Amino acid sequence: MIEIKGLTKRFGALTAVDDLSLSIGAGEIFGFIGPNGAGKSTTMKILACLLKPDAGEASVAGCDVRRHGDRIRRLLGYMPDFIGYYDDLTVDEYLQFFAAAFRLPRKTRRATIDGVLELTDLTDKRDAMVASLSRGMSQRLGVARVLIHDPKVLLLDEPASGLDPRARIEMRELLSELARMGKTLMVSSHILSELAEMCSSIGIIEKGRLVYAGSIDEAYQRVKGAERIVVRLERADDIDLVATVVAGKLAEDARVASAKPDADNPSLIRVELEPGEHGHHFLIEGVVAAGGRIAAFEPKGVNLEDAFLRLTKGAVQ
Amino acid sequence: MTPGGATQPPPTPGRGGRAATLVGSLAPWRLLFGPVFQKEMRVSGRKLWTYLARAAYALILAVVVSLAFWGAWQTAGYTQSGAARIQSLQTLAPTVVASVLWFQFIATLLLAPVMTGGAINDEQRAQTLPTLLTTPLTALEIVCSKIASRMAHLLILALLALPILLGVRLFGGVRAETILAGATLSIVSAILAAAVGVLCSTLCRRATIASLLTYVVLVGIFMAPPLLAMRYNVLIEDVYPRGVRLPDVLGAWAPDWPAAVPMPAILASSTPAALTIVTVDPGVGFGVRSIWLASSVYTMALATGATLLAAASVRRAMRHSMSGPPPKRRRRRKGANAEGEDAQPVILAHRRSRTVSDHPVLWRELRQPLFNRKRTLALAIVVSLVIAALIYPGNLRDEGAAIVPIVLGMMMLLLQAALLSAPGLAAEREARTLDTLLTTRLSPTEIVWGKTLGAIRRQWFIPLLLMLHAGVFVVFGRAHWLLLVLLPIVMLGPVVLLAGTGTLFGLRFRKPVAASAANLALALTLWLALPILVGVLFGALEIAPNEVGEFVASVTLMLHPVGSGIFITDNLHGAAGDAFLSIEFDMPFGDINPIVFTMLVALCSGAQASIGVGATFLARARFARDTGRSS
Repeated sequence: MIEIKGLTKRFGALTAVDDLSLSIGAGEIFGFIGPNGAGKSTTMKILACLLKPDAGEASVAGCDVRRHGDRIRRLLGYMPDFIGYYDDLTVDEYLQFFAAAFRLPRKTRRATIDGVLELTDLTDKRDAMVASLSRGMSQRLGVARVLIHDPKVLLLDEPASGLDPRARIEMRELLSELARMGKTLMVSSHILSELAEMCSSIGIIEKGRLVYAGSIDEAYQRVKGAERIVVRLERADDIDLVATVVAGKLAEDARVASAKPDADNPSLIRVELEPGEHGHHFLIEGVVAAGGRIAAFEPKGVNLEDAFLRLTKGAVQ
Repeated sequence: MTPGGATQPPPTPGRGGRAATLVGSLAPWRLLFGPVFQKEMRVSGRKLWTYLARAAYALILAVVVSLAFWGAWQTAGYTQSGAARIQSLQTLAPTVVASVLWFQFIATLLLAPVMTGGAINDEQRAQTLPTLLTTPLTALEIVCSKIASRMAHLLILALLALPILLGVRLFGGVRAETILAGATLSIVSAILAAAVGVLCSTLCRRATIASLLTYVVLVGIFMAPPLLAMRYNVLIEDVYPRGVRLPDVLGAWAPDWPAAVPMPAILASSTPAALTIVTVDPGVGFGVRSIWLASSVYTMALATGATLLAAASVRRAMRHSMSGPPPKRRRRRKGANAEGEDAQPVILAHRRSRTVSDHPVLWRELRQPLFNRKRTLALAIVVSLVIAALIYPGNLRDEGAAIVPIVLGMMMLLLQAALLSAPGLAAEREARTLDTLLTTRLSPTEIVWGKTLGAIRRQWFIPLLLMLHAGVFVVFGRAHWLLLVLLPIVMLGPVVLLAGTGTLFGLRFRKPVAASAANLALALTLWLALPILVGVLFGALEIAPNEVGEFVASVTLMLHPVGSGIFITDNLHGAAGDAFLSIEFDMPFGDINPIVFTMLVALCSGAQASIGVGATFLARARFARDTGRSS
């Protein structure tokens, strides 16, 4: 549905997007991840025909962003990271405004608006002034706006930004519902745990360059070695002895990457394993043999944050 | 933290300490040159536009001086011979000094409202005001620093003229006090304009509206005393040294005390009037020094008042940000119980939704109000009625009573058209709604023309007032009905022109206030600088009167909305009973009948309107190119 090949965009001396290539299939929820200033919003703006690329190609449903802007606008809904609203209108007028702007037939406008209001749970706010909406409602209104012309592709730039936990959950449910409706979603967010729950694939971008694109499972595989185990001892006094034994003796097995006492909690030791599949029994046996008495043994799986931190260098432009 | 974990409260200052804090906070250095001033100067110092504007000011000043110098030189050279010419050169210096002082006065007065219109409301929109208010800075410090930073730029502009003013003294005939008085009056007027601008910026949400309101207030402050004096036929020769006695003015309504308003006080209460006295120096028998000094003190007092009001307004905004809007803006929901949740006051945030048309941009623009609040509209109506009550009773026969409101109304119309038309697309960009608009299927034509037509519609208030004013004279049989036909035609051309150029500037400039300033500069060039230039050139070259001069004078008159307004009102006042075809318009090249004159007015207005239409087409093409959209 979205094809990007060698896309480059420069602002003066700054290269915001650098030779980016990407492919998103129909019906996917694609999570676009990257530090601030990595080039996510610029990529989305190019796809939404708001910026012209300096080099490379980008197309939405086979329509080139350079030549078929009008066709793409019909197919695509774009919600920017900072949305400006016409706060002198009511919610209903605001949606009518965009229904007319997308040339929806008059006969179908009312039903369409009713539908998106219901979907975004804003029916009660139909006659509320846009200026009076809370942040969460405003974001939902933003989603309602991009749905008004029933686009096949949605580009949502930080849709959960600034929302409280409840509003974030509601937004996540809303996006999942849109995915069930068969829409292709490209979502950028800093809340990686939420992306992990709903995305079928992700792209990680840093300094304008794509450092990873693929499924979340593949990303986990790539950083598999990041498996960590937290061991809590009954006696804090044993910690130095056990850490030394674990780091030294067990390192000979080439299975332990590091073993460090926790700086804040004197009875905790954090062990990081080398890449590959490992059982955990050798670690328990080693700790016990070193004289440590285990109070708790907690393996921590790899999550999207680990993958993100491993795959990026934390650099921003 | 104390060992027990309790927080030690800061020591409460005693009475002496509080007094010292208060005195410290009122220290001029702290009030004027605090962190806000330093930040404003740093930010403006980084902008290329600051230096371009200064260069443009210096260039225009050089043109003004050259024209004044050349005009005086030519007059001396062509009309007199030998010794007489040398003697007449002594008048050169006063002419140049008067030109520079007036230019400086008008320029700083026009610039100050544009520079201060966004001082506070831009901070509110960027949500930086609450951050400022969390610091120990007082509201007065914030307001004073804002004024001081703008005044610093205006002072730099004023200083540009100083070498010229001092250098011209070498020709003789100019007293140092004239230069000092003129410069002082310019600076205090600019301070007043800046203070009123900041005050309006606290009251209006948009910078351009604040600037426009500032101009209205300044016109009121500066024009009211001389207009009142004219209204009651107070002439310098008649009243000095007795003064205008209140019983003479107010008749039976006068209070029973022997108060007198001397003419110098009337002159001193208006800096333009005081500057006129300073530059013309008529020697009418009372001290010029007392007038300009009194005027300066009076203007500074007004500026102080405006500053304190602005500070109070910022403090009010600070309180609202902490405790929500004031109770009077809340209202009980209809049918709510006296107790329980329903009894809670709710903010009026609902309205019956209207049906949006198929042209949504135009639909919304046509519904944008000129006055955001009903009470502002009510205030404007009350002020208009007060002015009407002062002008009309017993004065309908007076031609001046018909012409002066037309002059003021036309000037305000031009200011309004220049300032209100420009923000359009720049404001959309600033509010971050333009990107949203660009993701839709709207064509550039719909967006750009929607903005232009909306800008034209929003300017209904002043044309309506002018039509009502003309209507009063027509209804009471003091002016011919043709006035009601010609005035709208005269107004339409400049309004469409400035709406079109405003849309173009709104596309070109990132900030709405910059777009408004550019449109205002265009209006001033077209209807102030060019007529003066034509007048000086033709006066100096003594081209008029001849055919070319008559033609140029006629065209200049017909293309000038204020000039046309005066000319039309002058010709039609007192002609109420005349047959249509018997009316004659006394043009520079001869008398013409009303049909030809109406066609000429329509032609000139149409020419201006077509420039506006052209500018809108240009804006549309540029918008289409910039956004890669087809029509």
